[in-house]
Amino acid sequence: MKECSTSGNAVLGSGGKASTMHGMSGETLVRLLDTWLSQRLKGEAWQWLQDACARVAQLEPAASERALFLAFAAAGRRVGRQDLSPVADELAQAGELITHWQPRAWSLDQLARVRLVLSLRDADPTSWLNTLDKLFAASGLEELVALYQGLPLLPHGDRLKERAAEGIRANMRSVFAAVALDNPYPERWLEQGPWNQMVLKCLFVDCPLGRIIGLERRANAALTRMLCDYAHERWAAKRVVNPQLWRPVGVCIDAGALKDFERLLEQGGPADRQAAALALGGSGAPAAQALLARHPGEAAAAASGQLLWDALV
Amino acid sequence: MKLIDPHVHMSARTTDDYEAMRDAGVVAVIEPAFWVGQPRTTVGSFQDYYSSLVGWERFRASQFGIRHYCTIGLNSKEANNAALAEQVIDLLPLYAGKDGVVAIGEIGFDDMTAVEEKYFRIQLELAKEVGLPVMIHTPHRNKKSGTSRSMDICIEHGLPPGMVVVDHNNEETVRECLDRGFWAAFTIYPKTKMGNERMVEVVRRYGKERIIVDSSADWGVSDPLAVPKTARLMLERGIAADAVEATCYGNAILAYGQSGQFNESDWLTPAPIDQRQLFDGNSVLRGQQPKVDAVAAGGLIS
Repeated sequence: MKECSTSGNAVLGSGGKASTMHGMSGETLVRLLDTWLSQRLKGEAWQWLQDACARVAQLEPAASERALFLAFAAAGRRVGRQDLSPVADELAQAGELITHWQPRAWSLDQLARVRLVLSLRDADPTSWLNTLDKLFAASGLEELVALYQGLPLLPHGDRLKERAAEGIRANMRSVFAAVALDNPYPERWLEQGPWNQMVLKCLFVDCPLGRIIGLERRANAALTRMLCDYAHERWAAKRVVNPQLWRPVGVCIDAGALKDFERLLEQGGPADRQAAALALGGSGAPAAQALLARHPGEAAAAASGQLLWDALV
Repeated sequence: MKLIDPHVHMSARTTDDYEAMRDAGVVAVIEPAFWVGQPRTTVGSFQDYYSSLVGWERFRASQFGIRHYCTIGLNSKEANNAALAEQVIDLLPLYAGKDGVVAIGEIGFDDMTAVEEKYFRIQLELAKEVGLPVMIHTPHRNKKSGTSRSMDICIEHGLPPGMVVVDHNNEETVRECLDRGFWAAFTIYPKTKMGNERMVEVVRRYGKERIIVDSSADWGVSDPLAVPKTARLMLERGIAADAVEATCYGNAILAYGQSGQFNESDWLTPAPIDQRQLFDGNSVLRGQQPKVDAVAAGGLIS
């Protein structure tokens, strides 16, 4: 059986790319956000945001921090909470600047809040992080969602891992989802432990696994065990197993998982069999291919390209 | 009759109080940041308190159909701990801009010390900077002079009197307060402040303009129904209904509405009560059945 690929972990701990992500491209990012915001905000709101960002950027450190706190708290009603609704070109720009970033579900106040944080000088990472921690500590639900969702846009990504893990531990579902879903930060920066916790917690709180960026790229052997064990717990309790669970397992099949796929094919309902077909069909492991070949209906469905993970519920 | 209690420390009150207030017609409350009965020793205690005023307490009130607003500030009593006060002052910008913060307060004098005055002035500047009204706590001791001095300092800092609510007035302070153009709030609090019979006479004498009634109910022997009881007494004793409405409801909207965040529409067209909503994973329910207002047309529940 093919060893599980560890390519998804290759970026872990590599601080090297962070400096290229910000620095020059930090300015590019700010320009991009300003373009989007200026096209959407009414004159007064846009003026307010520009003034606030200028104060945060230009004042001496204590006054800059104070300006950030005041503006960040007021951003919701100053800027308004309309959807960003990015067009295709804008989504392409987003993904080009920050790999896999797709701000489809962002609102204007969230964007403005992150834009305010990006105005803060970050040359000294320790004091920058200190200010950011204060902001997190005083944040309510809506503000936390903006901050966690904005993690991939912030500089010093390597210093934010603990913060991201904290968000994953949140018991406010929308805060958890802000880290876990549609967010490229975890794939790039999280260690395997918190990453695996995040995937498993998605199942516990009913967040769609398909919206985890890098779900398959960050598949790993430990996660396969956690997910299969969880499936067994559910089966033992006669509870339904979410077929999305098998998606990362398929990338990283071990002997136990193979038995589970066999069970899905032989005893499962339609969604279980389709999940097994997709997982096995996408696996290069000979044992996986052999198992699938013993179930010609599923093998054909997998080969047809008609089955889609996102359609499975 | 719809009523507002624009000064009440709900964090110190029970869910029974919320229910009784709602039943008595209270639709909105303002909870000023104050001290908690004993001095706090670390800045973190202040931070958690402020967070609860904009977070958990607001949610708790909403579970009983009452809109909860707050004011943010460092109270005069604890301002006397200068080392701690300095750190608390640095916290205020984190909270002053948040939604539902309708004033800077309650601030002013307790012992009338120099340190109290220093932090009072700093917070008046903050109020100007963020464009919020100010809620003044006037001292228990040396009240008349403390009230005058508080107003002098507000004027010195260029605050329009119409942006300042001077609270805990009595018969001795109200004249100056109104003459100088400030809002005059009265706290109906047993034994130490105003009784509601006296309040009736104040309204009879001074009319309804810029007079506000509140309870300041807190962790002491106080009455969260002080506003409803006073409103009822005023009506019984022949005060015109429009004056009762102004002093127990409308004036608070005029004064704190200047924040842009205290709007009648918030409670006239409210989201239905849904106690199933959780805040931070916690509910106020402990095994009781959630009370969910029917929203379907015709009250149908399906």
